[in-house]
Amino acid sequence: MKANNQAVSSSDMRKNLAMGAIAGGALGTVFGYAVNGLWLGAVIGILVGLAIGFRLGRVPPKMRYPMYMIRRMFLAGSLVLVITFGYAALLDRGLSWTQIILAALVPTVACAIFVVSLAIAIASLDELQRRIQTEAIAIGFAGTAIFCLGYAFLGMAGVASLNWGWVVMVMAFMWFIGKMWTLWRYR
Amino acid sequence: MKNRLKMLRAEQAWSQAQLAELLDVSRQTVNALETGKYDPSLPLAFKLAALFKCKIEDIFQPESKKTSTETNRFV
Repeated sequence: MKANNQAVSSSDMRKNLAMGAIAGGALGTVFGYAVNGLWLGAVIGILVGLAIGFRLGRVPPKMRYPMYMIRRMFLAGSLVLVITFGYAALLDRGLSWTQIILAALVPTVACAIFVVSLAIAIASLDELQRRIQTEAIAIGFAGTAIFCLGYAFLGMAGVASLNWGWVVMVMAFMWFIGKMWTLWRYR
Repeated sequence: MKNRLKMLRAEQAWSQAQLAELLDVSRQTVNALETGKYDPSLPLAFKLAALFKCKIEDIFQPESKKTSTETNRFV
């Protein structure tokens, strides 16, 4: 990635550090929980995040999105991660049915915030980049539809039903394939 | 659509990155325009025309212009 020689302001540096600490902490907490080392994971995550934030402030890379949008997307992504993790932890606490339903809806709010931050970032791109993203999303949508239809037919044939969360994973993968394809087309 | 963007840019001795900065687009967009893989929107075409101080049709031309007799055959 090419470096941008313009140094960032001290305010931007602080924001980068905060973003790094939050995103790193969120990731570290989840990984730490998975390997039974929650606090160690959180601390390592925060330190790595701070280091990345510091590096981004000292040698800002040339990016298609402005830095504040990157920060916004990372924060929204961290929010999704932490709330989803919190929801999964809450499920083990023996909540009532109503509480579980309410708790299940909270991650969707975080996801909506993430999607909005992503949409705002895409809207800030130039016209070719927007076209690339739009075509990638269209390919992702079509690919996911084919996957869902195929799996529906497999379900009818008796194959075990899939967790709906996988649909999002497939969508992200198809979007990635679509983006690679359109980037190649306009290279 | 054919275009003379590469030639016009060379006349000004600008790199793709410099032109991209002047147009406020990515270098990839300038490259796609020059190679004819992407046709610009009208606002971007006007921006290009203003930058090179010429008309849009001086930069962009249709791929194959039908002569009036050719067109009349289909009317």
